[in-house]
Amino acid sequence: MPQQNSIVVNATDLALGYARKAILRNINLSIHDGQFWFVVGKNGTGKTTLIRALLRQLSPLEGTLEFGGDFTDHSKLGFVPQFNQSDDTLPTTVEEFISLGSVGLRYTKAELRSNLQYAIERMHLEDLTKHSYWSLSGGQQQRVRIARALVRRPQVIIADEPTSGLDVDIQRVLLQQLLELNQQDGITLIVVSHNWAAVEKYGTHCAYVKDDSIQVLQSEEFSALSELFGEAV
Amino acid sequence: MESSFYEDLAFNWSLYKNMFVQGLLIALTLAIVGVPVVARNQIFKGAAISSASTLGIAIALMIAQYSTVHHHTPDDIHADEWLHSDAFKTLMAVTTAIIASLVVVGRGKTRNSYEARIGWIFLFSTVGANLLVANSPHSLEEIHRVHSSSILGAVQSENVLLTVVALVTVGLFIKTWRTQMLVATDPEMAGAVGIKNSRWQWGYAIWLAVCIGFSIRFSGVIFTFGMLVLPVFVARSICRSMCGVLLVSPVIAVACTLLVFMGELIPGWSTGFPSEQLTIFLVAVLLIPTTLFRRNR
Repeated sequence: MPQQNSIVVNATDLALGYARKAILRNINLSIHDGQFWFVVGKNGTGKTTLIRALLRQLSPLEGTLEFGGDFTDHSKLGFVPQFNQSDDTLPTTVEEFISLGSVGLRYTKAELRSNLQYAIERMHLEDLTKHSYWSLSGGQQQRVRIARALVRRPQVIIADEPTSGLDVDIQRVLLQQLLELNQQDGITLIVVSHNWAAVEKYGTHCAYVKDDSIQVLQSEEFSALSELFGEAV
Repeated sequence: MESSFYEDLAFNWSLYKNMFVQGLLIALTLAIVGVPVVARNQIFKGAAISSASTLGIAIALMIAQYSTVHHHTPDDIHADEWLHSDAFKTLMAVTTAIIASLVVVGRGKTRNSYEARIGWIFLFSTVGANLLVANSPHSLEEIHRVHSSSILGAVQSENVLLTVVALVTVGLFIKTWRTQMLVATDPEMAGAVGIKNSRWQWGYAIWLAVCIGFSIRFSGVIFTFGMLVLPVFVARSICRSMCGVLLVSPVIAVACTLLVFMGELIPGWSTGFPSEQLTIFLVAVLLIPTTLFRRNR
């Protein structure tokens, strides 16, 4: 297990929103290196607002939001969007799709090759590298999107509902792979989800977004509140 | 007999070389700069910017006509020369193309609002250009020539300008194609990893408009819009990767232009059809078997 001591994200009395209108207030949380966080809550409660702040796309209205360790810039951040916004307007292979994850970083060709290999192996995509990304199933496409985040060799991965719309079995496989990345590679995970069972099984921490605020829970507190969350999420 | 062939070839070359080079440069440039247009699924953006560019030429013609009627002093006459120059028409074509491109930059809040803006620009520009010059037969003929596409009358100075545009386009895409493709195909991901999406979109919109503006001025709407999207369509049908499309699209555009324009150069090979329209027709026909190939793959 990686050491869980250095702070990756620290929010103090944070208020987030748009056009000076706060959607979330009084957020206090500390995300440490190697933790597996879930962000849960009903639709429209502000999960995306929180994620946008963590992606540095939204400035705090009040309070402070600090990033530590290697997470002080985007170079060690991997992101897995919920849906790929593009249509199949252009062909792309799995390998090319994954390699686009390194855009913005100054890798040598050798480093890019090495990171590409790492991402492909970690997501078990060796047999699919030359396939068309568009010909893959939903579960395979999601594994490729996670690999695209991994090619940056991230310290933190933020995933927006990575299991949404997938079969239960595929969800389980995908979450297991994320857990391996967390436990074996020490990658801090922040995953938006509606799946409370996944939170209980895999998460170390949970940020429950409700009524314009965030309640932070540790794993030992999950069971006591699972019934409540089971209804709410 | 043989010496006559070479003499005719030499004569044709002296006559058509600027048109030949201009066609190749425009084909090369547009087939590259059109890849993100297709990647973003913004095909008619090209048509709208082309029409806006035509409106710019119509405005330039009307300003020149107004100036001719109203000049009184020697200074006015000097200004009149500039307003009648090709450079002024080119400047207006590029300026209106940039304005149109910036109006439709990005996808808009919804797909509907984006499509509505594209449709409005296309119709406003097309009708506006025709109405502006409707009472001036000479100007109307020039606008019709722009609509129908013709590179006849190309001159060397234009080719120097187009060479610069082509070289900058090739250089930009070699340097930034991966970022361009990520911003075009997955802006959410690009933004998340720190790419300034809006800067890239605005920068690309301006360069696209510059390329279209120059191309419209020199080759017309059909050739410009056709070269912007059709070679990319063909390339995506036969390639497996975005990188492949970026390489194959200009090859197809240049090869088809070369094939048709060679007909004008080689004595006895001329079809008698307008080369620009025949080139676009050739690429459009090529799209049929390649699309079938894609479906069966």
